[in-house]
Amino acid sequence: MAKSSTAKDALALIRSLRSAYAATPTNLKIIDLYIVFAVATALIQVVYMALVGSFPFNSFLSGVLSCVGTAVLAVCLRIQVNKENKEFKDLPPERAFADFVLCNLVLHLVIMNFLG
Amino acid sequence: MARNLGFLVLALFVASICEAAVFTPISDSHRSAALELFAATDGSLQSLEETYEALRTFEVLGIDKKSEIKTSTCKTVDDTLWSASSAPKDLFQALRVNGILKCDLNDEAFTGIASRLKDSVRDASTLLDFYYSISSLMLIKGQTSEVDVKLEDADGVFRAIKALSQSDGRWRFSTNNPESSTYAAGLALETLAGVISLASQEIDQSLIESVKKDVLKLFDATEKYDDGSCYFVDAQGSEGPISASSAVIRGITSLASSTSESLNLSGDKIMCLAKFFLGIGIPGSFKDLYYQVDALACLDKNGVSVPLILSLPASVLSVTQKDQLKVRVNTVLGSPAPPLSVKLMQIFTSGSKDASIIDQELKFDPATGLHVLETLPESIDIGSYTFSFEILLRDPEHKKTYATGGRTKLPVYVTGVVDVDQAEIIILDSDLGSAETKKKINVNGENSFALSANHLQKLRLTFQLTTPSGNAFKPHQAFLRLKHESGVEHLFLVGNSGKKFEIILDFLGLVEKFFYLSGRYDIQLTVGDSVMENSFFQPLGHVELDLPEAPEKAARPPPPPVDPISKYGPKAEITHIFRSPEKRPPMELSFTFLGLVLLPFLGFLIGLLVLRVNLKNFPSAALPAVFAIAFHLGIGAVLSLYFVFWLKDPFPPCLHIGKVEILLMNPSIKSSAIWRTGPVVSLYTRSDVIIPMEPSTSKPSTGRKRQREQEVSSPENHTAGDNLIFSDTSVALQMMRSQFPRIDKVSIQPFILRSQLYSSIKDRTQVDRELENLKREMVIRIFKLSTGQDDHAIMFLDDYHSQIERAVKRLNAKKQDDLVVFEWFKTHVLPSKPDPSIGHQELHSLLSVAGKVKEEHISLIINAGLLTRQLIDPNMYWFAIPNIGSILKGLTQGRKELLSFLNRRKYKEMMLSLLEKKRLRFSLLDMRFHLRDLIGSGGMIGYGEFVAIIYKGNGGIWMVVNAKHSQ
Repeated sequence: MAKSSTAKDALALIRSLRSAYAATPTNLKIIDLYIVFAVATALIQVVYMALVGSFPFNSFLSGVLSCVGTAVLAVCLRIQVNKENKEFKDLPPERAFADFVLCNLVLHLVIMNFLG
Repeated sequence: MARNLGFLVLALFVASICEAAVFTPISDSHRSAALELFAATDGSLQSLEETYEALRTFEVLGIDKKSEIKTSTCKTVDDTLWSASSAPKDLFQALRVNGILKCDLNDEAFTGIASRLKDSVRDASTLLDFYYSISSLMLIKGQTSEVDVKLEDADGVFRAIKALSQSDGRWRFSTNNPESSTYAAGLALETLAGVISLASQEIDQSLIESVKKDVLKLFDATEKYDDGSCYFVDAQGSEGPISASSAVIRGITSLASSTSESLNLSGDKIMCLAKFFLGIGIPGSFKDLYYQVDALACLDKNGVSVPLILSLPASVLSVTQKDQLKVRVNTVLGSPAPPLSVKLMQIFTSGSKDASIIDQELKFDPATGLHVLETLPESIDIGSYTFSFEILLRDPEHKKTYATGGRTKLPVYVTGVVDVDQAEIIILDSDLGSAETKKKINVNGENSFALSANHLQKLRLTFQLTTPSGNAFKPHQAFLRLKHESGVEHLFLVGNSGKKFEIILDFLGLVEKFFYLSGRYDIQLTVGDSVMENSFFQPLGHVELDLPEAPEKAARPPPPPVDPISKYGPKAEITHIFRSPEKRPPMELSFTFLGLVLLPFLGFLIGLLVLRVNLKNFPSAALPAVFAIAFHLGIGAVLSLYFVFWLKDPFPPCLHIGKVEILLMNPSIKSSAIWRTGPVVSLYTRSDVIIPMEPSTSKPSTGRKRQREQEVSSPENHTAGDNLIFSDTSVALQMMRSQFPRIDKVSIQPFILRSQLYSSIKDRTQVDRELENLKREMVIRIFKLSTGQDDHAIMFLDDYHSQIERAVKRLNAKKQDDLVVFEWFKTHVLPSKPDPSIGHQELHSLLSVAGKVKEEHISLIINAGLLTRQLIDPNMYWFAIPNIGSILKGLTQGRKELLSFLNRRKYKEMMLSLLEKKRLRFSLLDMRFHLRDLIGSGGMIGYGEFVAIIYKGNGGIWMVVNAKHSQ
């Protein structure tokens, strides 16, 4: 009894979440997708390290940090671009995107150097 | 047991050295030493002087060697005596030898010599002149009675000699020489004695008295040793104390015998001189031996006083064998003493001052000539003592002629068997002190106890030592030794209280000292002393110790002692451990994950499709579209810049996957010539098949040398070329020529750098020698390169000719007939001048052989690049390779580029195979060319699969890691 009710509750929760998320603007969805992509790539590299070993370590670090770094930057972009976020009301989305691109360039300059 | 005895003997020996005041008369050891020293001169004596010294020594020692050398020596003596030019010194030596050998000489010779000697006495001014002349006359007097040797003006001669004496009793050699010496005093005394006996009438008594006073003064200046011996030192140092003392003794004894009256010298002085000569033992040189023996012989029979030496035939007396104390009294040469009695006056116990006064006369045994003390005094137990003796002469007359030297102290060792009683070994319980195990030790027999104890127990060992007379005995050594089975030893001193010796090992307090090592300990008891006849060194068995576990901080047992021989032996060979390469995953796994990493990207793209992302918002108007495109292109450009930057280091470690190919060159050459040490002789055929032979280490060097000689001796083989043995250098040259990079921009024939040859052949001397041969045989030419470093290019002559032809073709000379000069250059200059440079005059004359040379001709050659002017001397030219300038520039820049590239690597090293794939930007030559050059010139080192930079600035440190030695 209890089990089915929990399952039902969970299902209802997910459904409400999906319906709520469906209301999210598409540009934020794209950013979310990008974040998921970056984190997944980082996870795969971590799994590779756990299975195979961390040699060459700097390459592994570069790979993971590149993914995590760009995911964090994307999160920042999402915060800034979000219309409901009153804090960045005055910041135009173009400016936020330019920041994102610039930060990514700087991040990857470092990553490329560290790659070895 | 033999070991114990040996120990005893050694201890006694050491003890006897410590109390060195033991003087024994001349004995057989001197005789054998004299024979040995004589044998060392091979029996060939250089001069009459040496012959005399040898003969005199043998005569005194009673060795008959006369017959061996009589014939030859007598001939020399005869020649010397008959020769009119012989100096008094030679005559003196010859007469001395004759005095011993008694050669057959007629009196005529003596007569002639005697008159000559008398003349020289009259003319003599120095002491040595007097000495030789007068001693010779004395010798003649002794050898024949026919010849008149009397001196008329004896008083005058005596005064002349006396005038050389000094106030301190020493003499001068001549009036001009102000320095006086003891040795001269000895000679002078001997001379004066001669004068007295040669005098035709009585010498003035007052003169003799004054000489006697001189002698007394001389004896005041003796140097003394602590052991009662004394000697004369020659102030000038020209003569040693042995010869100086010997001369003085000879002088005073001859003086005493010629004056036949007492010299008033005390017997003690003579005695102490005798002790000096006996105390020096056996001298190492024949000369010193002669002085010693001669002086002792003079002392043995003299008119002053004959020293008597008291000695013990055996200084070790065994109580068990009831040895008697025997004393021998002899003269210094070992001849028997006159009737006398020996008294034992005092006995000193060693180590204590107190002495017991005995005053007992020893019984004389006429059969053996020994004085015997039949029973040792009651108070004497085993131990070491010093006995004090006194010699009493029976005949009061003898007291004048013999010197006894007062009391003589001699060391005596009394040994005996020490009783070992009540020896037992007990294991005690710590708390109660009650005995758990008790074993009696059988000192004389075998013991093998098997005891066991733990750390709460004690081991007690007790024994008693009693001397034969029932006293307690304390040996020098009483040790208990415990030896663990692992070789760790512990030594304990067994203490004593009175008779009883006891040691208690409390294992609780000793666990630390025992390093907590449980297990079997072998017990060994050592009791020893030099006077203990039954010193022992016995294994007693073993004790099984059960000790607690070692705590963390406990000291480790020391390593077993290193064998002193192995300590200085060769060390173990050093093996290098290289960092093992990282494990790499299988390629399939890596590629699988590469695919997996791409999966999220795919998911991202699909997600974009699901979200219906489109590019509808992309500006369609012209200007914004351009800006948008420019923006994206800009980002793309930045990213591609990153990528290019990454590619510039084309071999990131993550790409080092898979098997690495290591071959730098032709594999057979690489394995034989470059990476092995030592020259390799290779077979070379036209089809470029190179068969490396065994490396030089496994080949006898003579064989290799012979092979090389063959190569050198058959130069025509090099040009003939088929299936012949070539030198390493020519093989390497051919190989490198075939591997010369193809250069499209510049037309140049292959050349090889000398440093490249060095990289493939280790023996540089061999390379240089073989290059020289090839140069002389007109196979190659060597050119000095203007790179600023000591670079030399080697080009095959055929290649050089074709290079010249190309240069000439390009020259487009205005006057076609001027080009003939190149032909002259090829045919006349090149063959006759294999050196890298040529002078202007020589060039001119060589060219003139072919035809009329103009200055324009030479400038044409220079313009073609065949010659370059030397900077230092404008009249000298270097031969040059035409058209090589751009390549030389590339060579220096390529070197720099390669070195700086390696410098930027983390370990300044790189795999050869990877480096070889890299292209050099500034050099037309390929990587292999540069690698060989840099390895050969010492800028880099090749090692296994890797090359690394050599830092010359940092004391020649170079670093190669990560390389597995390929061989």
